[in-house]
Amino acid sequence: MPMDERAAINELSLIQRILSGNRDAYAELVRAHQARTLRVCTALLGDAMSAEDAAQDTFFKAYQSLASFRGQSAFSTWLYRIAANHCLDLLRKRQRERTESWDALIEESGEQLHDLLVAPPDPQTVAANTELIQRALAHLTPEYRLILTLREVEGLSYQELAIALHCSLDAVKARLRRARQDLLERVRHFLGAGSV
Amino acid sequence: MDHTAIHAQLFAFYDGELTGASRRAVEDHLLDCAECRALIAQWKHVTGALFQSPTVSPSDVFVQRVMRRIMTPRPRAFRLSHWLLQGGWLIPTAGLAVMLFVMIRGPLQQTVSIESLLLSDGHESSVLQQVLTGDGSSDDDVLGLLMEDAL
Ligand SMILES: [Zn+2]
Repeated sequence: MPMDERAAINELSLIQRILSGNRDAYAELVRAHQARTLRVCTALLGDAMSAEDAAQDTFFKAYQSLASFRGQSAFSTWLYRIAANHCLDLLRKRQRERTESWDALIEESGEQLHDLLVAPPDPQTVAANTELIQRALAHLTPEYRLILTLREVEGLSYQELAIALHCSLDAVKARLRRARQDLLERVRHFLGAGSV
Repeated sequence: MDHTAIHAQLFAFYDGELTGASRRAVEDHLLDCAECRALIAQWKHVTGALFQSPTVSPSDVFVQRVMRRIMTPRPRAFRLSHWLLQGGWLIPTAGLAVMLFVMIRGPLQQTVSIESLLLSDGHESSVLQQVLTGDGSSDDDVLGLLMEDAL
């Protein structure tokens, strides 16, 4: 039996134990998925404190609706869906509160953004520009930011994206194409010619 | 396949979603088409700069915090159906009924006694006079007079 399949069966039996009253067993599930969940929340929300809270909320919500998990997808994909919905709400709230325009960002930090985008991507450069990156990403719609994060950071397949985002494969392809187009159009003048 | 047809598949190729002949068709096209190569390169730059995987690790108390939260019984939200079924309405309703009874019964009692006094004659009229003029020093005195009369 392949490793993934065996892990999924173990996870299902663990979930059965939790549902039959062994609440302590949930700790095992949290331990197994905490790093991944925190990572996706951090990638979506930017700051560590909000991300830790969002990851906590994700596990709490997952526990509350654990009975609805039927094992038709991997537990991790199901968890992505809960984290995605939760972070999407937070991003929408932030979007309503955002005051900086894209033009203002370019005017104030265009040079820095240019340097970031033309330099060979490396973790040190990215780490040094965290705040700027978050300001830039805040201009994407929450839906675009979510799908790009799940694809580019988490490496979800189109099928997994369809489950996590609760939509069809065609919708995944269309949303991903529009998200990339939007982002490339915003930064095109930093990158020279070319379009999606 | 021509540039336009490949262009539409370029990101599916980049995302690893193409297999077999369609994958090979894009690979072959990329060897000849600088524009498609440039687009992929641009995207790699953008995503490499903006979508790096964050290096974070959960705090030591992460699991504990989740567990504490799920073990803590939540204050139950008020539900009308539960409230009605579990008879939670009985206590306030009974309280209200007692209060209404006391409010109604008090003045009623007084009305009846005054009416009975008005309807009576003889000795009672002196009692009535005392009640109406406040001549009786207290309720007990009035009661005493009435009792005396009854005997
Ligand atoms: Zn081409």
